[in-house]
Amino acid sequence: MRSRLLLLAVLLTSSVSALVTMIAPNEAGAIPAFSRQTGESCSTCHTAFPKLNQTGQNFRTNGFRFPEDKEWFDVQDMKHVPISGEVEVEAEFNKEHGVGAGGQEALLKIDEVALLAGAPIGKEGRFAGYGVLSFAEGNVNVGQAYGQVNDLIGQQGHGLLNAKVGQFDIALPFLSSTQRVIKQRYFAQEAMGILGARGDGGSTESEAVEYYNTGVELNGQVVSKEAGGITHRYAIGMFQPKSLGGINHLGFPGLYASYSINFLERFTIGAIYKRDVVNSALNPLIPEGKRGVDKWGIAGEVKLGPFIATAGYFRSDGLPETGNGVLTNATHNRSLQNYMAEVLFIPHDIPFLPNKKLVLGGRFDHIDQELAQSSSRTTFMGRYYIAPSVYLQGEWRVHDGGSVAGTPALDSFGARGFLVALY
Amino acid sequence: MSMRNIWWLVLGAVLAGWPITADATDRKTPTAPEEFLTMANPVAPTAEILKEAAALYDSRCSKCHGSNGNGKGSATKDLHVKPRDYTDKSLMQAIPDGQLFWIIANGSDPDITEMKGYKRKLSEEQMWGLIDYIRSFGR
Repeated sequence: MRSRLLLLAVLLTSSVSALVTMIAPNEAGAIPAFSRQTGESCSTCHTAFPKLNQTGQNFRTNGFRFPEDKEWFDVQDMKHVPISGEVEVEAEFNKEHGVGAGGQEALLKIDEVALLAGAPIGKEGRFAGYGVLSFAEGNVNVGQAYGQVNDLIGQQGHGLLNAKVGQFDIALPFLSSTQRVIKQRYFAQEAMGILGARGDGGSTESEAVEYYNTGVELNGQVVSKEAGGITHRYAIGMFQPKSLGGINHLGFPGLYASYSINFLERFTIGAIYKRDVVNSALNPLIPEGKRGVDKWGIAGEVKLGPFIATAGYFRSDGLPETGNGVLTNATHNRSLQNYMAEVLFIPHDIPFLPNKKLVLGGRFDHIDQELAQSSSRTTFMGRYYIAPSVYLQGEWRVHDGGSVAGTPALDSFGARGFLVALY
Repeated sequence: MSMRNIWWLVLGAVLAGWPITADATDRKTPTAPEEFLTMANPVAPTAEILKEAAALYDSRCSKCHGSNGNGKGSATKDLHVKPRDYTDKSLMQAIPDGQLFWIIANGSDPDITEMKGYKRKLSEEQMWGLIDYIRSFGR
């Protein structure tokens, strides 16, 4: 019986894949706003959406401009409305195991409907704006929303130094919460608030709503014109701490700096430092009960043929003193260490595999927590592009160990299925 | 063996088993049909044609092919196969006008390049004008 079911499943999957391959258009019929504006295909900037390749990172830092363009447009002169839409449907399955495990959960939902807008504005491209408005979890949410003044110094269109203000992703240029191909969050974001912002506490199991810091940043890049040359990216800024209570948010700004270098077009190394500010009511000697927490991390990425391998080490210091000797249970007050490794396989020019239509990946993410059980997540994913901007994605998630950022402490496994369409 | 050990084993095997040299993808530019290969450019490279083609090249081609035609535009950083160097005189002499026209019209190998076809967006005269302009880089 089981072998018949397996055979039926294989036949059904093969038939659906064959049908999808036959009916799928070979060229992009509907492509998002940046692609429409620039005339370039999605894969010019993305290795796999939403992960940016070197060209995409240059384009983003440069205020959504290619230096060769030389001339940009006022909004009323643009050939295309700089707005895209995204619809994401998700199927979820979760099952805990061990003592005290609850029943299994299964659910199908419209995960997110979003409008995304972005463009350089003005004939000299001096200003760039980007914003995301989404409907998820029953609420309208503002995602990233920022403005950037380009080319404060240096040649026009090269983004040597820019000033950015608003709500955005503070992370490494090549490794950030907004560039996750595997949708499972990183511990370095969810528990530590390094690769992007943490939520305000509680479970962040759902990935529908994303979190960002509000801040001011000076950023820039020096891009090699030669193939295989060296590209530098840098950013320094101040942000409004996400988990800070009270009303005087601007009185206790967080600070951050990041730097990354890319060489030989396949190796990238980066480092990030954040000084977050958290409530520390346990220490009565600190004014207004606030305390700085140092966080830092290093990461590297290597591109080998169709493989992209990324590894990182991130660390968040705990509070150095706790007043009465009691350690608070808040995750951001514990000392945390995180190791992660991820591999993506994106076939191109490989016999018997559909080129630019398939992405496979896996990630191992481990966190050690002061005075709490360590925790690991292993995730495997597969993606199939029905069209250049429409894909199906499946993820298998295994969680071993302790509670992190409000998620249950029990071992568990889960499955996710996504249908994502961008227009 | 724990899940973590399996993961590291898979990661190590993948990285060890994929030598860096394996990234060099061969150029497999499609060859135009015979009737195109024998075609001569019917549009003369007048100043007016070159001026119009230069504007077209700047807006549509320079991001990959480079402002000076050397194939090192800003959008080529992650391309497995880089665009050809139009400033290489001997290389360009070996490529017939009809081959260039056919690639501009129909695109190159979609599996390994980003070069798409422009026959629905540009007129034949515009495409031949672009060939006049491309050839001016090597002069």
